[in-house]
Amino acid sequence: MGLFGPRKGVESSAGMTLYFASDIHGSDQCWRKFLGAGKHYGADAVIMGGDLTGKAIVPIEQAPDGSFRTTFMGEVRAGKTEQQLDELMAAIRFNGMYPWLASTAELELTRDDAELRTRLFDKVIVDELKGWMDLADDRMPRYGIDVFVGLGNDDPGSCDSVVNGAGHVTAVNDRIVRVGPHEMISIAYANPTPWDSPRELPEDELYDRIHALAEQVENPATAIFNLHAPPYDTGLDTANEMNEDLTLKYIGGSPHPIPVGSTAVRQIIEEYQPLLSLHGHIHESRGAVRIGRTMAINTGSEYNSGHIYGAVIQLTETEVLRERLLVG
Amino acid sequence: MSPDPGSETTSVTSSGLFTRSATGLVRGVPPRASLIINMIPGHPTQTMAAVLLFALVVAPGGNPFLALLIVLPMTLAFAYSFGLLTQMIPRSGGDYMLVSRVIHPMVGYISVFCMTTAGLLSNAFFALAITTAGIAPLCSAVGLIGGYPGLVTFGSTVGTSKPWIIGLGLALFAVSAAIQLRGWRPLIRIQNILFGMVTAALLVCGVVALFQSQSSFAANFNKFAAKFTNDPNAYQTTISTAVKAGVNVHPAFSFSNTIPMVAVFATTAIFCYWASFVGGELRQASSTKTARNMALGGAIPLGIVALFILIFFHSYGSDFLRAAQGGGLPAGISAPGTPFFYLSSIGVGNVYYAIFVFILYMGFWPLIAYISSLQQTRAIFAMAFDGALPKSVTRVNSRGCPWLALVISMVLSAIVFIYAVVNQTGFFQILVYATLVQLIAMGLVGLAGILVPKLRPELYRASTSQKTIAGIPLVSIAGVGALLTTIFVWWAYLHYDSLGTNSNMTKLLVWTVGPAVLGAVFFLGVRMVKGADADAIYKEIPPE
Repeated sequence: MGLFGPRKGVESSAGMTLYFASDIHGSDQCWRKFLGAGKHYGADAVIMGGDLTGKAIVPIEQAPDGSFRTTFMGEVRAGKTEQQLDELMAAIRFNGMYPWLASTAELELTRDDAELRTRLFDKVIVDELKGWMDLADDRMPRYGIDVFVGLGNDDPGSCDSVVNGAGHVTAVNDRIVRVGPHEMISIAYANPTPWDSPRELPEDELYDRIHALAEQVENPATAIFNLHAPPYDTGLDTANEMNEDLTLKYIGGSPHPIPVGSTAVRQIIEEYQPLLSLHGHIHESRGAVRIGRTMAINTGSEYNSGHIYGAVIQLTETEVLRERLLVG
Repeated sequence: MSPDPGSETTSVTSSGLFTRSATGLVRGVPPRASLIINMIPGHPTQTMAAVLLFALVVAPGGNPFLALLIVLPMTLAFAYSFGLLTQMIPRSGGDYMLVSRVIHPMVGYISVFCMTTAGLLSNAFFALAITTAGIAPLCSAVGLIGGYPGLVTFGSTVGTSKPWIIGLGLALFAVSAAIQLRGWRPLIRIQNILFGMVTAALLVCGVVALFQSQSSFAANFNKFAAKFTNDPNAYQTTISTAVKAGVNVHPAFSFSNTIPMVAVFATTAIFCYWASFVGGELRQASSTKTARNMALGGAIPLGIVALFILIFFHSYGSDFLRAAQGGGLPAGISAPGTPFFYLSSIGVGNVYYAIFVFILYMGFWPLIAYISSLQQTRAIFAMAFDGALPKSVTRVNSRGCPWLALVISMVLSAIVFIYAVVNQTGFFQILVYATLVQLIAMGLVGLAGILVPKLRPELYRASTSQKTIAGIPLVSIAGVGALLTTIFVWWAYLHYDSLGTNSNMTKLLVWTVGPAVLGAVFFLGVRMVKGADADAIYKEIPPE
């Protein structure tokens, strides 16, 4: 059953329906909803725009007798039973963080060693992501829904091999893939941010990177550009300005919104005028706008509320018929 | 071609969390500042004024201590409804964000329209009251105590002159905007200074009264009054005049009269959830500190009020206080609006003391005006980011000012304010409805609290709000309390004519149900303009 009733039958014979979401940042709930969205909205394919990984690990100190203790969101959580531990770990995952069970000695060692922490992050991210890919590989073939997964600026290099190694899931980062009749290019990199995240490039280098891929597209007019960073000053890239200490800047008593998107992304879209461009990165700047003939969409994100923000897009080979921003 | 993804930097937070270099934000409001934010809307100064100006006369025989005790769980119900929900949904926008995310966006718009209506009425009231309950009584009181008749006349002129009232009210709006011009850090400094000033004024009055006997106060009062009345015992005359006018200065305890007193206190004391409007800017917003600071923000002022009523009753005499507010004060020395500062200054009998406490007290007005405006600015931003308002309302001009949001907020407030000045009688009738319309929004947050474990079980289970009492979620218990309080205050205002609803049902409906209907219509209008199916947009996806 499609979202748009009678129109779907006619249009689906001539085109396809896509579901796009981005920036779920380690939220297990959002990943499961992303996979469920295909069936829910009657989409032919689901596309993830990147920033899959969480930003923090919650170390849980476990004693030899199985009892455990941690501080989670400012609150000490302790318990003894398997069920209590499962509930705690689910709560941590829901909030886009990674639980890590460790002995007191392991915990202290890792706390004091930056190299160990980096390795730990790689391990938990890879383990979690592998679980997500396994779930998709297990469930999605039976629904006949294609799954395309891109990465974002917050996703470390260790993610590529996990997504590349999936079965039913198509890894899209830095390559051209076919989504129905459409060629799709995907770039995880963003223009520089104040956080020095893993995949950032100066605007000129970002332009070169996207340009190199876009040049290989046979027909840009029917293509989808899945570029994690939104185009500059389009209403898809509005974020509150920050001070150097990463606190919000206030003017006139309110946060101070400014465009923070990529000029390179905007230039590429203006030059190639693809059919559709898909973006994430700026969570609070959800929207859909036309840039020339290109329909550009940023779905935004509220990943730690358990809601997934997405878009259902109906398109023919040459035209975006409808796009709807949804909260699921 | 560019290099591979950069290497990561990791760190350990003070709570033991391991973090890595990724996009994020350092929130600006520390927990202690959020406690103060929560205490400002129900600052004891307001509740004390409500006690001494209103409650003792409106509800003779009502026991203020019992009333405060009954108000406490009501306050805590709202504190925990808002606080526990904010812990689950730490975003700026207050009731709008909580209700729209838990129940339905349409209900969120109903809520925010009600809350904003109340906010605009409150803004207008504070702009009016800075003159009528602030500057004018300050001048009159200092003039009377210091023997400066010119100052008394000036106070009287300012308090009744529309140009003065409008000018000073608009100046208050400007000052409240100006103190917010920069980030949270300087704002919090200013907020804390102003909060410290007004709290210190109250504490000084309390401490002075604590060490002053009733006979000493009466003697100083008589000495002061004699200059204007030639009455050597004006203290007793105040009481006897009030008694002749029908004021019962020694009323027997009446539980039924304690009930309207509860409603009066609830009007000033249940708004300790204000940090919810800046939920996305609170540090450790997801921690239990958020609800705890709201609960403390409600309970501490109530405790202070109880203590100070006790002190003032002891030092000034409860019969005298009832008589003074019942119209017994000699005409030449009455200075309405600031009863305890005025009486304390008379009790000390020193003009410099009077100037000192009144100047400290004046810090209250910019403080409350700025706090009141937080609701509207954050609601506008939250709705704009949700796509319900054009993003242009959050855009800034070349000098960095979000001029449209500011203009919308200022113009709406100024319109209501100027109406308030031109038609004070009509405005005060409407102002009563501010509490009732605000309670609709607060009741909806209570409803969200009741429903959240059922409607958003994953969100509830994954939060620090997952507390239970006898197996029932605390957030639902608080929600039931909030709903019952909402119903109670509505009932009380409709039941007791003395509380001022004026029994004008048309006006009541226009100002209470009206904004709720407008909110629903606005939601449907937004969805119609966007051409979307509202049900599909918010239908939850079953997770795999």
